[in-house]
Amino acid sequence: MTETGGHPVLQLARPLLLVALFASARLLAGSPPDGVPPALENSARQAREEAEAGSRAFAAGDFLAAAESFGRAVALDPSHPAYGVLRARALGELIDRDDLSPTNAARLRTVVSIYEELLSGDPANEEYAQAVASLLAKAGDAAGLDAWLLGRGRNRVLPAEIRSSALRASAETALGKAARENEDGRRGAAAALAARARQRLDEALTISPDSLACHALRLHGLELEIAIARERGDAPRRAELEALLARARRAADTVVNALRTPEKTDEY
Amino acid sequence: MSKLSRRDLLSLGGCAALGLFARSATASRLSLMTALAEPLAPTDYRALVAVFLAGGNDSNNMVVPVTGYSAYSAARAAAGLAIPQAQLLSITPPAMAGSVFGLHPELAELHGLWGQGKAAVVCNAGTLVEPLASRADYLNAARKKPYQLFSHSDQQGIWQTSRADTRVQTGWGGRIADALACVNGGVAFPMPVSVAGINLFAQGVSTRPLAVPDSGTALNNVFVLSGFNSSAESIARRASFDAIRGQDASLPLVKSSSDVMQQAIDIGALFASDPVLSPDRFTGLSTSIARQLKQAAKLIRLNRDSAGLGLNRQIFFVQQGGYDTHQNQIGDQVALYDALSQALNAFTLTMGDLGYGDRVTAFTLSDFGRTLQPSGSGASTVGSDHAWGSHQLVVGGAVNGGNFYGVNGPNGSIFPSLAMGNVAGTSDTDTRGRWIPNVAVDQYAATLAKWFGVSTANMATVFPNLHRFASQDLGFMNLAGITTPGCQ
Repeated sequence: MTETGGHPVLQLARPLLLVALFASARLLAGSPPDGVPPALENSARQAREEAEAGSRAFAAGDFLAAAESFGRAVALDPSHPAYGVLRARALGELIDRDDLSPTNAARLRTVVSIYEELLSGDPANEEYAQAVASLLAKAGDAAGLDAWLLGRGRNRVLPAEIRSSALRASAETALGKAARENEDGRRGAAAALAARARQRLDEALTISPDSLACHALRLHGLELEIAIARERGDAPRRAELEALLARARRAADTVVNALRTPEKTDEY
Repeated sequence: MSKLSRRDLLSLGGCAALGLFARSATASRLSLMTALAEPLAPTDYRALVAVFLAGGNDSNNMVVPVTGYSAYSAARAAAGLAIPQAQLLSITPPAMAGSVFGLHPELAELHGLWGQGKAAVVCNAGTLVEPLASRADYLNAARKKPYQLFSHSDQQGIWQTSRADTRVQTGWGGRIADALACVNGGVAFPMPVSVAGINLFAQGVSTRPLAVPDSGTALNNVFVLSGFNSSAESIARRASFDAIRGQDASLPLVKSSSDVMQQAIDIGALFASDPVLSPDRFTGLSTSIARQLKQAAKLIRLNRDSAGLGLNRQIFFVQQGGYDTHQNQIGDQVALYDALSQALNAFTLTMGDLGYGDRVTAFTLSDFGRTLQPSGSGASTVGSDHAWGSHQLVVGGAVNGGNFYGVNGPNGSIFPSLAMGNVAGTSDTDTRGRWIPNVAVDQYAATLAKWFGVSTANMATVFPNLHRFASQDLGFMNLAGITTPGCQ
């Protein structure tokens, strides 16, 4: 079984996934649709059986068999809201960071495309979004991950919180790489990555000025940039960054003070 | 909502000052401890973090069936206790064969962790002496049931001891520490640490837990022997104090008291500085649970970086109160879940920062679940009453996340039927939606203990009732590459 975008199951599932998201209310409510022709009802029952087989295979760690069962469930009942996700989950479990084979790459593309299809109908769904990010990270596709996060961060259709969160995640990845480059003595690359992270955080804070997580990460990133400048002996750059840090601290303090409320008692 | 304030930003700047007194006064003993400490840095680090949701968490609103939402809605909507379907954060657990569920809308960060495969749900867990497969089993007087069901103090005790048949004075966290004491070499620092005061969970037979305050107190201020300074007079007075503590060591009570004092002094020496978390993921989080988890994170960092520590295993106990929601549940759960979700997310991110993303596992415990049938009605008064089985969260990089785990109940599913009363497939004890647990605390805890490295041979000592249950590993932990220390 090949896992390319042209796979027959995927071709069948894709156009119907969106329909599924809007047409499945009755199924979600647990009742069969009225007036469903017997053939469709039969098909839905067979799909459920396939999904149950997929669940058993998933629990047993046989993700290939699970993906195949969930794939058959999708083919039998394309309107079901969960079968496509389950197939993506099972395929996602098969992706191996160290496997550079075309099959692995094709699986990754297939899974990401399923999630993207789902996200197009439910763009704020963090289960799907985080799954894509995790898969790209798992596959070691750093460039793909960054591009994906950036795309999400700049997608004006999405709520502000989700956009800033994606930009923060992108900045975080860059900062992690910057720290590693710095440890390995590649200060120029480290400085460039840390500066890129700061730009992303500035962008995120433009979208969500009150995001404490973004403020905290920006402070952390600036401290790293200052450390890099110090190690490079770049005094002017260091002074410039220290001024930025002071300003970033004031901005963060302003947010904290504005949000300060009396301590909530949640003691038992 | 409590995403608010924070003095933590102030701590981003640098380390707190070192405790000069602690360093000078105990230098010789510290060097002895350091010599005994082997290895000096963790080589096979793992930590368990118990998050006790005190009061009895109504997990009926934490994990809600979307497929079959009508049963949930029928039970709770009229009284104003149902979470609207549109607000639920959708999840699709592979174990549920296509059924869709939703997390409470305030669990947004945990929903993200679910998507990353770092959070799982263990369904319908609770206190059990032996398996009870059905309502008939529960009503059968010959079948063993936990003592004092629905009572806070008793059920809290059972969740912490895993002994539903009798009261004991040790908790399963403490007994795990007893079993794995050898793994930490000679380091004279307790494996279990409570950031929520004295509790049963962390008490072992030979293990005494350390209790520390939350991150509102810097670690270098936790064990400070007051009344001394660096003046010559003070140093002489301190020398006399130490000499006096060494006398009458043949008297057990005096020796015991002196040993406790010495242990506090030794630990105070290890807490010579207050570790800084950078980035500080807890920035802006002011709740008690966030402060507790932050302190646990700081202790984990201290253990990783301190030459005098280097423990390979640590166990933490934190607690979030306020879950006894007989009234005003909707509003209270918003605040509670918001605080829990943010704090657990900050903790998980911090563990990633420390390189321990898949080395630390946090998990919830709670007295009991709550009745599906509401008590009272109207937004400000509606709540729920004490019940039994409830869903638990497990969070961390070693979790086989994004899925439900459990044991099939009378409805043939790991997730309980929401049918109340005496109807087919229900696991209700009466008519109010009190679910008979499918999963025993012992099974839940044993799954964590296995990942933590407790040997099969020691499982019976740590969990004496475990043998009564068919499944001793629920499968929610990733055991790939996990070794069981041979020194047990």
